[in-house]
Amino acid sequence: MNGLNNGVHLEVSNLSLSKTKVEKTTKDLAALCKTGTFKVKSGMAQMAKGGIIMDVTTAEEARVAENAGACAVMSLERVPADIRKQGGVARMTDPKRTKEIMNAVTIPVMAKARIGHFAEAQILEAIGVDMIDESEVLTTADETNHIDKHNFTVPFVCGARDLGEALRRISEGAAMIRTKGQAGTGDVAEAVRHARAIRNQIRHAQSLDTAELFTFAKELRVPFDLLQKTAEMGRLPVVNFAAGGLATPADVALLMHLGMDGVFVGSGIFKSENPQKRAWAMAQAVTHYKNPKKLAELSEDLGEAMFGTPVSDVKH
Amino acid sequence: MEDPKFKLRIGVLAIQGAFFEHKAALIRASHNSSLLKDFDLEIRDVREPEQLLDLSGLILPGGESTTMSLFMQSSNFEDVLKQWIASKENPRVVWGTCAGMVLLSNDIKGEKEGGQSKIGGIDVTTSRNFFGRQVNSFEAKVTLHKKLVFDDSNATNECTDSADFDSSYHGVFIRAPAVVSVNSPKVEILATITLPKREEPVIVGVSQDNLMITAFHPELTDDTRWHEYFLKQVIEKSNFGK
Repeated sequence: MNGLNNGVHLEVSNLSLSKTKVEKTTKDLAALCKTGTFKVKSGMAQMAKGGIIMDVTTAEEARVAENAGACAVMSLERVPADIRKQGGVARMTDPKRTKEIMNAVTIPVMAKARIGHFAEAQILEAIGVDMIDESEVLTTADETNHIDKHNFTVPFVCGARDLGEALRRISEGAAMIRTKGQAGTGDVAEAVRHARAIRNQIRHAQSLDTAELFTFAKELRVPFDLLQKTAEMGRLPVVNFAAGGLATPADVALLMHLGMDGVFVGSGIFKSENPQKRAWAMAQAVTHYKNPKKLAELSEDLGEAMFGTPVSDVKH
Repeated sequence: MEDPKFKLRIGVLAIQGAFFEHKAALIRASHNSSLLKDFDLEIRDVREPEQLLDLSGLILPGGESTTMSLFMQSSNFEDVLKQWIASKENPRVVWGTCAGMVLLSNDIKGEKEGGQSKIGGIDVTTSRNFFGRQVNSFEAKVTLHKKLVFDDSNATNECTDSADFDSSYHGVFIRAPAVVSVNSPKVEILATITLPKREEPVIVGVSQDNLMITAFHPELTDDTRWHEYFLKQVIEKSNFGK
């Protein structure tokens, strides 16, 4: 938790290809043994790259996800498709359920807290989840403020629709970003829109001179340094996953081609006819997204995908 | 004029995990070191077993060992990789970090229910997530037991101090494993860490023959000594150019 006040942009520099000054190892390192630094938080997300993170509601589903090759699971009470259908207030999962899932698998376990609900986040940190998703899929608890994520030892992932949102979340301490998409619809259109928006805005930022970049930072309502860093790197300074509506191996490949580092899959798996087979195929698709022949094999005979609701039919 | 340089081909297993970070670190290391002055470095993502064949060295990155071993099991990847490593006529060097360390250990504690397959080759017992879950992930000083980088007389090497070698290294540990027992005299200890609550130092880096493993993530820091050391091993041990 300490040492975070120096500004996020300095600590994420390892993602950059550019050669930076070689750190001299000195004696004052001897005293250092720190948990919860931004390096280990964003590093946790880096270890999930090229992987698929699956929504699960029970220990049994978590085992299916692990055996299918998921690099982490997300514990939640109801998958987004059910939240969408049933309505009502969606909250953090019962900690007992999350602990059962943690005991069932060796891969990291993430869990969702409501936006702005830092008390839920504190509970999740206390039971030892590996990452918290401050998620719009649950009912928002604070209409104005997000959680101050620098205050936590556990890393956070947050949703974003565009570059401004992504960089604001990072400046609040998010160690990982995902597209918001339209969770629970089985329609990938919104995830694609958000992935493309972030990409386009980064390319735009790269084309600006410094004076223009100051103005762009004001437009986006983000810290200038963070925007400058992003433009230099040509990508978000933290790991960026796709999420919201992915239902097939082809959906996975599409988002990976758009520059995503990996994918979240929610309702798409356990709302389909053959979750085991589909989970395996979608996990393989993250690794082999550049290989259409392999994707063709993986897409064969998966049974019915989740029924889905086109995003254009969803009331906002 | 024909290029007099040897092609040095290094692969990074790209099934899942921080493979891009290793590629970037290899490039940084090649800038920092004069090791590669006679070589033309080619770095390749390895997703299919065929991509291994003409490589001289391979890095198994951090990520989820469960995911990687499942993927390798499903194809003939695991067998091809084992044969590739064992080749006598073409000795290859393999380095596993974190999850890669678990894959290269002969004995694993805390594996997933029903066990997980492994490549093995280093005769140690490794405990998965020895230090705990993500909230226990940390940065700390690692003690090196071997000089990783050798100063070239006519090169300016920022990493090496003049007289004694610098045995201090800043390690990043993320849900990291550790070696809990060394089961063969062939195993050489490369790095340990002393934690506030433990008297005995914990083993976090070893090598055996052409294989090496580290529990921490040198690819997440700017210090390139480990990547330089790996490149040096590859150059020394392999018959490149064939």
